[in-house]
Amino acid sequence: MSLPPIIGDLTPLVPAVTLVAFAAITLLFGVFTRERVALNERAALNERAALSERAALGGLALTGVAAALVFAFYLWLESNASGVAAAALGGAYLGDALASAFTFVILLGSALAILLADGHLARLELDHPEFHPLLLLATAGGLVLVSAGDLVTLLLGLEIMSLAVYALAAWRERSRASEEAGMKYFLLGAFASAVLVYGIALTYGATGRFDFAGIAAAAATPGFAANGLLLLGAVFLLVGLGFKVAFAPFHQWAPDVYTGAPTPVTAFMSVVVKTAAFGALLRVTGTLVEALGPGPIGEVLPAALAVLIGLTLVVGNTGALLQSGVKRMLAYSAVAHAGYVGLAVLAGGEAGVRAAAFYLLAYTLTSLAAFAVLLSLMDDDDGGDRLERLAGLGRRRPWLAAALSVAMLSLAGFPPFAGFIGKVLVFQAAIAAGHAALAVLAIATSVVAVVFYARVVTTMYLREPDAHSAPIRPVGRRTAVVLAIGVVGTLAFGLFPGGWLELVAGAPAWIAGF
Amino acid sequence: MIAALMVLLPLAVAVALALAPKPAVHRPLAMFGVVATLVLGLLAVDGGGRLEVPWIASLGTWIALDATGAGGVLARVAAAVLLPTVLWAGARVESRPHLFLAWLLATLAGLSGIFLARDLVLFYVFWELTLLPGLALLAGWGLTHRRAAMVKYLLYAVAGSFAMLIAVLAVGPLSGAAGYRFDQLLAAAPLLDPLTQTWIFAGFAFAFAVKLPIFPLHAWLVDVHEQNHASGAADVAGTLYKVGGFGLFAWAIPLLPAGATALAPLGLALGAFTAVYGALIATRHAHLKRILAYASLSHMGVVAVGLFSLHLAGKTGSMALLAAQMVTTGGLFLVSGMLHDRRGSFELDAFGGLARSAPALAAATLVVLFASIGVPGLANFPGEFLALLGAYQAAPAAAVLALLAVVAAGALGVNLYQRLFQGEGRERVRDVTPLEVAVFAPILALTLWLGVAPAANLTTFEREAAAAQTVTAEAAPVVAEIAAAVGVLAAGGVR
Amino acid sequence: MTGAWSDPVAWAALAPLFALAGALLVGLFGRRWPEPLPGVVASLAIAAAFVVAAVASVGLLGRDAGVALTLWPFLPVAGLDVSVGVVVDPLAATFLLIITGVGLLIHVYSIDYMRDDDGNARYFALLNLFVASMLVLVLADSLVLLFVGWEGVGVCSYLLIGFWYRQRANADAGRKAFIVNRIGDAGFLLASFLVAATFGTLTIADANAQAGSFAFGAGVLTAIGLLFLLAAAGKSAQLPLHVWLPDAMAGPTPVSALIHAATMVTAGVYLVARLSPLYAQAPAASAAVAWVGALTALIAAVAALAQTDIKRILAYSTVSQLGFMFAAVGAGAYAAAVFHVFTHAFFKGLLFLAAGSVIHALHGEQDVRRMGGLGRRMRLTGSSALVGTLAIAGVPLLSGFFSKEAILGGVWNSTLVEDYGSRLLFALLLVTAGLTAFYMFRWYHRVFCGESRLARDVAAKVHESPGTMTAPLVVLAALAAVAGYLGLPAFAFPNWIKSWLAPSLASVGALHPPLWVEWLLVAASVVAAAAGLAAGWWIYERGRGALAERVGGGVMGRFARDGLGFDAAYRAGAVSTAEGLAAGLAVADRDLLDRGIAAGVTTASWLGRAVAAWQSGFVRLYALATLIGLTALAVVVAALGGRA
Repeated sequence: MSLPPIIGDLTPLVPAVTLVAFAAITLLFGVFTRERVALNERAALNERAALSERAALGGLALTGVAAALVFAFYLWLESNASGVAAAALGGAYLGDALASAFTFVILLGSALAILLADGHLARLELDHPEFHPLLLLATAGGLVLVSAGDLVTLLLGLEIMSLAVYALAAWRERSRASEEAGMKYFLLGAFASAVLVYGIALTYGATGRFDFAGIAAAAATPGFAANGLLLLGAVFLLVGLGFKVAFAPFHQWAPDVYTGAPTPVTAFMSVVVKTAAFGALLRVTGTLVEALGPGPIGEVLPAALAVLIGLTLVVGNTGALLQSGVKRMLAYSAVAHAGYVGLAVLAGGEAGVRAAAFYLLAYTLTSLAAFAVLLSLMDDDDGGDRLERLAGLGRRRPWLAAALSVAMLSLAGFPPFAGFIGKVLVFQAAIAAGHAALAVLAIATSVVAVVFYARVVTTMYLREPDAHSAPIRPVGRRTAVVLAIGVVGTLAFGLFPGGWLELVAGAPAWIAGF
Repeated sequence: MIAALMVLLPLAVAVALALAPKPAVHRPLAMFGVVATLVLGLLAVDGGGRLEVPWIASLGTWIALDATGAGGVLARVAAAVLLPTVLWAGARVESRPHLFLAWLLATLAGLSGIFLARDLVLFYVFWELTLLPGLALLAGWGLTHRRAAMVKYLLYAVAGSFAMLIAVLAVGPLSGAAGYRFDQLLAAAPLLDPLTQTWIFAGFAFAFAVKLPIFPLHAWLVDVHEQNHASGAADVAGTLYKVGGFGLFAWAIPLLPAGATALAPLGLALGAFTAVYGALIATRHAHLKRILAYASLSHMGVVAVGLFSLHLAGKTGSMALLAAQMVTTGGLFLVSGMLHDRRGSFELDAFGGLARSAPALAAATLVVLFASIGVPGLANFPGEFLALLGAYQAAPAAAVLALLAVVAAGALGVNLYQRLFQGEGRERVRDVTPLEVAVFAPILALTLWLGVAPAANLTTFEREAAAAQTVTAEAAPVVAEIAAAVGVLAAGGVR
Repeated sequence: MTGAWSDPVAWAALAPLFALAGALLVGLFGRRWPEPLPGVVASLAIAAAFVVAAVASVGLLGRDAGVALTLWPFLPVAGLDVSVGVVVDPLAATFLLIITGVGLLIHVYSIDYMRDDDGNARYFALLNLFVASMLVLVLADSLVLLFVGWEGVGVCSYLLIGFWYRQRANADAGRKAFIVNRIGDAGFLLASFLVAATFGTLTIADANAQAGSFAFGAGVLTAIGLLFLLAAAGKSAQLPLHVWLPDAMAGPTPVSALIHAATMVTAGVYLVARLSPLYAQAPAASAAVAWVGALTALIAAVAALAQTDIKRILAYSTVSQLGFMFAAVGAGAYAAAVFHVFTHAFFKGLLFLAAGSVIHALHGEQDVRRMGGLGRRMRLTGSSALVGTLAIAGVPLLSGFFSKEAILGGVWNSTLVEDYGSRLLFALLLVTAGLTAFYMFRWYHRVFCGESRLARDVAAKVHESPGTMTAPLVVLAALAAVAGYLGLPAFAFPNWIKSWLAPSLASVGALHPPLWVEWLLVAASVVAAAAGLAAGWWIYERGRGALAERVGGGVMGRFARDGLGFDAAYRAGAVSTAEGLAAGLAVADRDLLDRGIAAGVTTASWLGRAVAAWQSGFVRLYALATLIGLTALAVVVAALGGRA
């Protein structure tokens, strides 16, 4: 059946627009209720009202994400039915398989992140009315990023997302660490954006086009002479996006920012920002590889990418090895996982996209579950994430410990969890694409990874808590929901990943780059 | 369907045990789980023993199980050996026995999966999963230095299984097989070019060498056994989990004949060396569990020698030996638990002269001990004989070396018996309790059965061994070249 | 040669089952029975076995082929469909009769000998198991099943030699026997592998048949023969694996009798005889067998001269007599060898039981230097021991004379080893025969004759043993006296046993020297025996014993007493080497591998530290890193792209 287009040509934009709209609504709602919330709190009366209004904010934001998700799904159905991928603004904004797959992951991650944050905002004194709007904006930016059909839209999306996250990273105004994190992220991010813009310029200079399809086509035309220039542009683009996904050696912001930023924000960054950036990276690399063709020049870019990935794998996994703070360990492991997804990017093609999309889905579920546990253990000024804090958790809170164990096993790539299937898909794609050597390196580093994931588990079950370890507060309802979704999802997608994989594979033909 | 139940039922029982409230139900529940699995195994003879449904279509993986082949035999033996183990553990483990039993049942589920899986990815999943119960048993009930042992074990195991993961994910796509089901792979993988086969086989071999284990990847084995719970029940689970030989037999060798042929000389050398190595080192230790660990290492060397002979008798024998040593080595570990009960130590110096006050215990132990050193008429002999026979056809030198190990193992066995049971006894110890009789009964029954009437199992093993592909004539010279190159490499490594 | 249960000959297959049943019965429940029930039950089991053996033997009379019976499949792999099956033919039947017959007497004897031993039930269970294993060994139709019995015998001997395991020495002796046997067994396994590889079968009959189709003296046959020789040497205590047998008398004396007379040590001879068609095709291997036998015979006899333990002397004499048998099978005189097994079973069993009776009477005294004159106090024991002594010494008209003569003649006339110095072999054996007569005379004289050298307290209690012990002595004495007439010298008289065994043994052509030469050979062996006895009489009866003992006490004497230094050599050589190797490996295992892991871990954590150090925390440095990374990439890519 063919469904009627909603707003004519602009259909694919709907999810992003919805998010922006809800950002606005939430902002207004927040601003108007702010006074009362503050008053209530100061007068310590009508606590429930304050809470309910805070809850209302979160609910509103969630509604927005949910609405976006509904629209995205609708679009996906539509384009599936029609068999042609939707495109808006003359191909500047796409609704193809990659876009929809990554949109789903981003929206899922964003929703869970919001839910998780709401459980702890008040405790951490993060509940300013601008919080949710910014989250929504960042999410919207992510959607634009993965749906971009040309480099300008891509830059646009990147900036929307980044600016919002810069602010969020510095959210705890009373914490120097948080401010430092925001500042670092902003400065380095700006620097990276500059590099990206430079890359865009070079690419344009080489091909005279911004849109991916055009770039590929232009390079394919006989007598195309600007390969060198295009290659240079490619490198700049690679570095610009490589920064966002935290490829070594452009990763150094990640550990500091992840550690410094408020934990709910860290959770958000680790899933949404990463997913979005990878969506863009997949598209760009795909395009450029195609543009540069199979010849000797064409082999240069993959080689460069392979070097970055190898470095990332080593740095991420060995870096996490010696961390005593769980949060920072997770930050390094995030870097490491960027390396694994990188393998999928390197593999490219439909297999690559499918692998990357699934890997990020698994990572989103698992890492949010991990952050949920972490958040319910950490103290009120967002500290206390030392490994020792986990000692004896197995006996004190068997369910929390079990959840965290599942998360760690999945991150380590153990069956039957989603992380395992993710690794399978990624390695299969990489080996099939002839990158066996890199896959072997990935494996070698994974062994290291097992050590630090296992350390978390053994600490929970084998170490006895020291006497003066703070009591563990009960797990809030929202956090419990996030935990449940994360763990169950991790297990479900590990046992039966089929559905999701069909969802991606069954999508209509790719537009750009593939 | 029955095959699926052989995996799911013990798993369900394990979960039930973990959650079961009343201590009274724990032991009966656990026993039910094992017995039921064993019965299922005995029922799963024909069609009912097979299952084949698609799992992840886009990956080409299936939920394919088969209890009618070699794996079925091993699964049944494993269940049978866990029977006395559960009985013993239920009585001997003081703290949280229900969890201990739950992990034992989980091991059984995982083992059933490993042995029955006929899809390579599924096999890998079970392979990896079964690691967890072993670690849990060590973590939850191990001795003081268990942490170090765990880390060592984990590192070796994970390094191995990740190497296998690469191999798994390479053999499928690179061979262009329709899927990961055994028959699908068998149709395509053997056609891969020898070099590719060799490195993929190396990936498998690494993982399987860790789990066999053979030198130089065995370092985890001894520490794990030494640190396991004193009842020895966890050691039985560990012994049953020595599935590397099965992996070679059921997957690596049939799928990658050229790779196997290229690496066989290395495998033979390492296997034979391991056999001697284990037997000799065992004589240098005075800790019962360490001795048993090294002795079983020696057996595994023989298993490897038989497999890498790539000879029909050798491969068949290796599987028979694997099954037999599940019973004998497992049984000896249970005995170690009984002895620890009486003297509170594993140091040989704490023993001696027990035969005087515990003649029945001595006799039963002697039977199992003799079985484990390959005395004919008992469990290990048929397998050992055929494994070495096959090895002799392929590489007489390796066979002779392994044979020396068998002699040494014999010496070790009688030395051990003398240190434990002969000589002037110190204070009296009690003879076998009814519980211990019940524990011994199945072990001895299996020991005799496998030793006197092994024919049925052997035919099953042989049928599967015969299915393996052979190197095509045109590939042979290339394979020989690779083998030579590997030899040079290995020689370099030694120096 | 196929058979069915309807054929009484096939009933022989039940013999081992009877013994096994007895073993299980006594082993499982005997501990609760009152004495002498365990012994009685065990004896009955063997008696039953003896009956079926006898029935089978009678049934075989006048047949030219044995009966084969397949029970159930055993190793149906790789084309060698090995199954559990038996072959009952004259050779097997002969051994069945020896094993069950002599075995039965030893069982009966043990009932009183082992009275009041707290291991009584264990003893009889093992005794039955021992007999069962030996019966399996001689009935087996395939090398695999034969090996089952072969190892079973080794296991039982291990347990019986170390029966009184509380004394370290006994347990050690058992262990030594087991390990040395295991070395021989390795040879057996290798031989079987080679047989399977060469003939594609492990069934003895097929292997023998196929061997015939090979060229005479083919290399592979020689190899197989030599490997089986290793096995046989281990089991039958031949050079260089004879070291376990002298220690083996650590067990109860009836066990020694069983090991030395009825079971175990004759297995090697049986093996070679059983494979005679193969050996007949492999002269080199046969010669090796013959030479090993002859040398063992001589060396053991020399060692026997200097022993002072009543049983140790007999032990060395067994080794020596087995040497005779090996020389015979090596020379192709298979019937003669089996004949000597037959007679030896009687007089050696007799001698050991007599020794046991003496030890029993002296409450454990075993040193012949503290005996003497017992013949007057223990008439039955003494006189039957005398028969045994004369028989083994080869005094004419007693059994030992005929069988030994057959061996000497067989060696002299051998065509098989003619080119391998058959005449020298003959000479060695002849000398050994003389020595045998000498040291056996010494044995008898030191124990039973002359004035008593007993300690007072012991002397007071000396008494003749009870009937259950002396009766077997008498029976054996009778047999030892007359058994020889089954095999009168073939050149002049009807030799029944030779024709009886003919269907099972390869017939090797023999030289047929003129009759006077044959008679000369007989005379030679008579002279040798006479000389030995005369020397003994001259030394011990004419009071030169002290001098002899002084010689014995000297350096040479001690060297001989220690078995000519074999044990010391092994301890210095093989044993210490193995131990050293083990020690080295153990150290390597500890350090080397663990260090390997440690190295990996350190590398990883070193990298980790590097990464952490790089994480300086300064934005400017991060930016710098990014910049450097970018430029590096750009430059490299530009370079590569430029080249492309």
